[in-house]
Amino acid sequence: MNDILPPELIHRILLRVPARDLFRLRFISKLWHSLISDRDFAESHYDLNSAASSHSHFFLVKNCTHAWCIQLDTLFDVAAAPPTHKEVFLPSRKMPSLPCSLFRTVGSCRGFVLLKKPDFLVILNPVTGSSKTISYSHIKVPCHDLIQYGFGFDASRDDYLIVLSWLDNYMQHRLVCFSLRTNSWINLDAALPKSMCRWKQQLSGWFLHGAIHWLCYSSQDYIDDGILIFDLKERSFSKISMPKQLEGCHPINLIILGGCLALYWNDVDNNKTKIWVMKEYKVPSSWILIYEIPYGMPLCISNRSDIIALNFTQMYSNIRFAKYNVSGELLNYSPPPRPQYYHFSESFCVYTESLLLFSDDIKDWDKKKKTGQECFEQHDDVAKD
Amino acid sequence: MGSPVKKIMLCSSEKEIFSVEEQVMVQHSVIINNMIEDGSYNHEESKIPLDCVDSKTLKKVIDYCTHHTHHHNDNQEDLEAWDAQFLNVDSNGLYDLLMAANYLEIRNLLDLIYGTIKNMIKGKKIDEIRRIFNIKDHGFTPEEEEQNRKEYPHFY
Repeated sequence: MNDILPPELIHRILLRVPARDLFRLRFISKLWHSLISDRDFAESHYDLNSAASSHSHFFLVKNCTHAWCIQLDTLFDVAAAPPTHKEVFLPSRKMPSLPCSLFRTVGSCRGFVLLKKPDFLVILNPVTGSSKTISYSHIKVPCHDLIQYGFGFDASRDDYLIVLSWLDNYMQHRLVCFSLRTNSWINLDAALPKSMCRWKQQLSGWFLHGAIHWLCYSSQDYIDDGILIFDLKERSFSKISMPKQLEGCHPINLIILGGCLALYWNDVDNNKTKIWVMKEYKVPSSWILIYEIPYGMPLCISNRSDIIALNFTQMYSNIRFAKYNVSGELLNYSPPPRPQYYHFSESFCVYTESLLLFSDDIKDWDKKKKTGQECFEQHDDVAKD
Repeated sequence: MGSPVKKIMLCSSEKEIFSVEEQVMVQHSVIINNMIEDGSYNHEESKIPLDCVDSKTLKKVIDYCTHHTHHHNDNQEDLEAWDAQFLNVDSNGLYDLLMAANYLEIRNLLDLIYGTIKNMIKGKKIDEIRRIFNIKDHGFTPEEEEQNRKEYPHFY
């Protein structure tokens, strides 16, 4: 380039660059630094890229202190060896948790991953290292594993919300949410529908279109089957039905694929996983059986409408990623993961990379050297060797 | 027989005149489309002055618009191959094309160039990217630059 590009054009180029690379590009010049660190830039960057599979990452808790981030679409790119596994530090906090209790992932939203331990929650952006720790030890739950989690963003209030629901000692449904903006818990019991259906034991809900979605169904009757929706702006519930063909099928799980709600049924007898997608949001007639793949867990859809999934067909203790086309034919397996200790018992989720920060720590992104940036130094070294 | 193909005149920074099918430019350039629509272009006597686009670049831009008008039904792979060949230019050429596409608001060409530049940045060290963009004055104080280099040596 024979001259310096106008900032407007640099801005537009940078909008197309993956979040992780932008972190590094801030050091190109003062101008690039100010363009990339701008909050509106982070928002536009997320809006433009959130639908692209190239920003889909797999977040895997490795041990009490570390997690791995794996870029899903380059996993199958043989030319781009080695696969990009990056390591991030998990924020710890002096809390009464058992010293070695693992974090579990319970959701993701706009580039943030929600992690839980028995007495506190952590929201972490693995790219920027921006994180928040929230105690919830005041919530008395008869059985800790029975909390349903939801994590989402209320654009109308510019606020991230963590929703928790559980059955109390009197078998009553309870609902609270934590607002990051006000840094406070809000009781939402009044928002619960009068006849509350049972929630399926899926730990976490899925955030889409300003609402959190949980699967609810019972194995005895199918009356309650459906997807429970909690709208974060209205703070109210609604429900949509599942495809009729899935009545009585078990086990079914809810996920989000290509920006749509999706359900998958692991048909264990036939060693198959059938994936239904709701093409039009909240339109039950738009449910369509779109993929039928060997037994596994779908993760995301690639830019060419192939599906990337974890493959469960072999008794294989390491996590193995596979890519299938729309007809369910195996295109390829990912090369064997380099850090060999991936194991199914570990906790993971899919998230979209972003540069977003919490509203109160925008100014001190550069001061976050103790958390995010240090780990960048480390995992770049990991990627190099 | 239909009416003869309507042409418009484009004038490069060297005052060279290019006569192009109106439809080709109207379809791709938002600016030219607006000029034709609001009647500010007079087919008898107007020439569109493009003072910041040299002849070499303007010829390439016209090539791009012409190809994409006449071959838009080609299969995606052929078009992508053509685009890749089209953008096989040095960084100065790419810069000129970007400025021209920006001036004329040719959105698909802009997207193509942005994507190419994005790939040029990918995986490159900071010093290399500074060379590509010809950034001589990065604006950091010597202390800040030294600090950054010390903290992230593998970025440079």
